[in-house]
Amino acid sequence: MMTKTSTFLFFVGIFLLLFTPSPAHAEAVQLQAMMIQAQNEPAPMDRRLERVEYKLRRVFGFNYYSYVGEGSLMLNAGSEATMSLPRGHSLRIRLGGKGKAEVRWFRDGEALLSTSVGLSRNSPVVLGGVPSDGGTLILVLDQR
Amino acid sequence: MKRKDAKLISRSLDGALSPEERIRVERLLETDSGAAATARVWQDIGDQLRIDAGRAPVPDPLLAWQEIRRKVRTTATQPDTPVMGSLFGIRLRWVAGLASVVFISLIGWSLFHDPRVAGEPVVSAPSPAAASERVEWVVAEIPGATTMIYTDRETDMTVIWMDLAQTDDPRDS
Repeated sequence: MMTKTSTFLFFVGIFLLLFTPSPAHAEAVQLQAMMIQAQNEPAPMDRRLERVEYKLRRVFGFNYYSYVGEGSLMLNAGSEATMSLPRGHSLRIRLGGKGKAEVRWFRDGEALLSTSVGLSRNSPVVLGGVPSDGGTLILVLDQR
Repeated sequence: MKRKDAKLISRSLDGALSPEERIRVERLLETDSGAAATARVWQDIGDQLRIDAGRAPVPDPLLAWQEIRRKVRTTATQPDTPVMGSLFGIRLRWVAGLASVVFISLIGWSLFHDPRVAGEPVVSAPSPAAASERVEWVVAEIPGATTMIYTDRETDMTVIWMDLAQTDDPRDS
């Protein structure tokens, strides 16, 4: 009788292990995109860029960085949404499974860049290179 | 014969009479022939019992004590009683079963939910080497534009740069 009980507990544990849903598929993901203008002409230092400016200086050769705007949205796996940004820009993001996202950058309805990236917290994806107002636009896409 | 007379005769055979009762018994045996006959029968029975008891061996106290010690030693060498042994075994089986379930569940959890072991892309804590693999594909939608992918290990930042054929490359400044 004791052997049957131990066997029953064993299979219960296996059942729970196999059919417990993965947290990654159940939780919604918050994405934030910050639009920054990089240029070599002098510009005042923006405190809103304190968190990222040192990273940008390390990667890019621009002397000055200005905060333009930002946007955010919540997505579940398999869903798609559009994030509005300043100066007519927008990001259409489709969140796939396992942390992957398809990102499409638009300006005034015209597609500029499309990519499929893996998202993770504290590890942003930077899209850049689009000229604007005498500088170059950089989008820092981060998962919160 | 009266009951009290029978009791008196029985007590006289046992030798438990007072002097007055002994006189009464003697007078009874002299006057009552039935009481005398009963007394003779009872005395014969008692004599026969004493003879039979004499034929049975009297147990030797020393031998009896040795037999008791032998029985004690024999009982002490026997295995544990079935009740105590089964209770201890039941508890061990419960613990073993539960521990095996927990152990297997932990092993399975670490195998199936660790993205690095299962081969899934790193989501929570990417290593610098794996960050370069974060970009699956890139398409520049602007005609003539090219793209470049760069991963900075220090900041763990993945950069997708689109070059629109600018004359001044800011990275060269």
